[in-house]
Amino acid sequence: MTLGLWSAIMAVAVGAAVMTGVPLMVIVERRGSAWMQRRSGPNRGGPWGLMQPLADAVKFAFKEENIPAKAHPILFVLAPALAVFPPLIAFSVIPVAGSVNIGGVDYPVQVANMSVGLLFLMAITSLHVFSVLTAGWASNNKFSLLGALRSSSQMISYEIAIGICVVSLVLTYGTLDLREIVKLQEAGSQLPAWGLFMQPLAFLILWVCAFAETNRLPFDLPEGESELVAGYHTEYSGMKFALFFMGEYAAMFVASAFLTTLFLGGYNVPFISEETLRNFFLAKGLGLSMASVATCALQALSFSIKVFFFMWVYVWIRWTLPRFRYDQLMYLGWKLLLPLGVLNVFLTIAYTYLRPHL
Amino acid sequence: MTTAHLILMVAAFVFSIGALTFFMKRSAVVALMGVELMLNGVNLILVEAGQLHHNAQGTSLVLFVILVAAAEAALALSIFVILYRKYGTLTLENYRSLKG
Amino acid sequence: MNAVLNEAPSIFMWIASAFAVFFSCVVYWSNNPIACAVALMGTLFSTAALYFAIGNYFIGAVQILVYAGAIAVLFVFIVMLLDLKPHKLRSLPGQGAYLSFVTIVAAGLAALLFCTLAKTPSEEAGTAFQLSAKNYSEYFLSHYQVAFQAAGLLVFAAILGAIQLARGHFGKKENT
Repeated sequence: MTLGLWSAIMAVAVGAAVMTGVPLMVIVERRGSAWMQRRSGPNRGGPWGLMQPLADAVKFAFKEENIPAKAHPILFVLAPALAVFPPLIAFSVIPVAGSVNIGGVDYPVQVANMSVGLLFLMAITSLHVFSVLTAGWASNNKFSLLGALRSSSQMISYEIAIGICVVSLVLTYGTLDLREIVKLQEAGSQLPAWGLFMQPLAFLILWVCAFAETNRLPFDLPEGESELVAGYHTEYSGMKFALFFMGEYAAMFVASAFLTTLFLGGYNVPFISEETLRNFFLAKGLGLSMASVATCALQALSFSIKVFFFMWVYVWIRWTLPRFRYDQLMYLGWKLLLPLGVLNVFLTIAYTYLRPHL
Repeated sequence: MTTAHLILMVAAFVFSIGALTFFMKRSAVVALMGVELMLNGVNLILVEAGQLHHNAQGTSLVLFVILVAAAEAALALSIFVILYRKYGTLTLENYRSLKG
Repeated sequence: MNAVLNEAPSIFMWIASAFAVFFSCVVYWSNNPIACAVALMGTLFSTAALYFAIGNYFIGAVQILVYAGAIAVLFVFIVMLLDLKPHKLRSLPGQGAYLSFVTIVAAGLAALLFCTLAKTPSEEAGTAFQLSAKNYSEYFLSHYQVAFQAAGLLVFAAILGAIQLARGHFGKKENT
């Protein structure tokens, strides 16, 4: 089994996992929002409404697709595809579990590890702006264009705060390699050695920026239903709209995985290192391969629980907080989060420099 | 033909197309895209040279080129917006008020 | 890393090169400014793919982050904001002469680069510079420190210029 083949298998597995998570998020959002509003949500489709996303998918596939008369033909069709691909690509550098030992060689459970993984992740998340702009402009609709311009300026503003916080994180961890960052957060004695406890301010800033980057409430003005019809995806119906939807949930997954990897210890089970887990399974009599597979299964479960926690908070906040006004949004991004991020960098520099002397 | 030759040929081609776009296009914005293409061609050669010589000089120079290209594109496009507002056109042939 | 450069190009590299050539041709031949902008983004992506293929992941990621994620988006933004229409005329007369001139220049450039390549130093074992963020930052911030600070000043000046341009007090006489 060469590394190339392993990467291909991992790519298929991670892609399938994300694409399965999207319908799950649909039902979680609809039921969760309903419970928060004291109603019951969709419970007719299958047991507990679990077949509802399937019904939605079938509906989208069969819906008539209206393309506006003067819409740009190529860009109109290209925009939903541009919304779906970047999150899937971004998942290629996120470490999902430890290493699996097959035939004596350790294969990391990740599609492709790069020594500059963090930079690559930031690069790919900055591509979402392009799909929004293209969709808004190609629709030949004033509301869509306004929504697209607002959304793109919002995303660009909050990307800067993300960049500054990533600078302070790189100072803390000393590497851009995501796998190394996760390994540095292993175990711990009283508290897990998570990035959350080393960089709390960066965590808060990045969490707020994650909401802004994925256009979720309270930063939802570009697609605000009562303000701009539906913003940049007004003219999209049927499968194209479904692709935008999937792209939005996939982007939420990427943002959650990003936060998990950097702050919540990634795939690590809290307080227990990978070595301890493997030795535990080896002591039970499993071979090295099966012990590593069982370890990775536990770590993948831990990763999923952490990512799901963030996704639940996404849904929770969406149905709790009202929407920001546009100038409030810009004020928050430029005048509040950016100076706080710079302050965080200074504090991190001071701490990193003075630490050996303390 | 090795990889090095292929990348050099692609870089030369992209540079030439960028130069052609810069000279031949009537719209200022598209001419600026030609400038970006030229810078891209140069970056390709620099990165490859850095890889050939086993050091990080190529990468450092490319970093500076990208930085300067970003600053220059931002400022140039802002100037184009103001020109458009003032003169109503971005066609380069119409800017001839300095011509004798 | 040098081993990649001395081997025959892989299929991925051929495809990335073909895309780069195709998209740059679209930037030139297209009449529609929005098509030019999208093709520019395609060229930048193909170039980033070439950077990844020759092993320089750092510059590939920086290219996507800065060039494709910021500069190309700015181009698309400006084209959409100003609503530039497709040109009615193709381009200036005398195109044939320009084309042939540029072709000769391109061929000459390629030939010059080919000949230069023959004189590169041979591979020295053990001097391979591992391009990780740590090694690279140590090298960069020690050898290029002054240039780095100057570049910071340059970006600061660009920010000030952009802010002043955005305020837009032009052609008005202010009574202060």
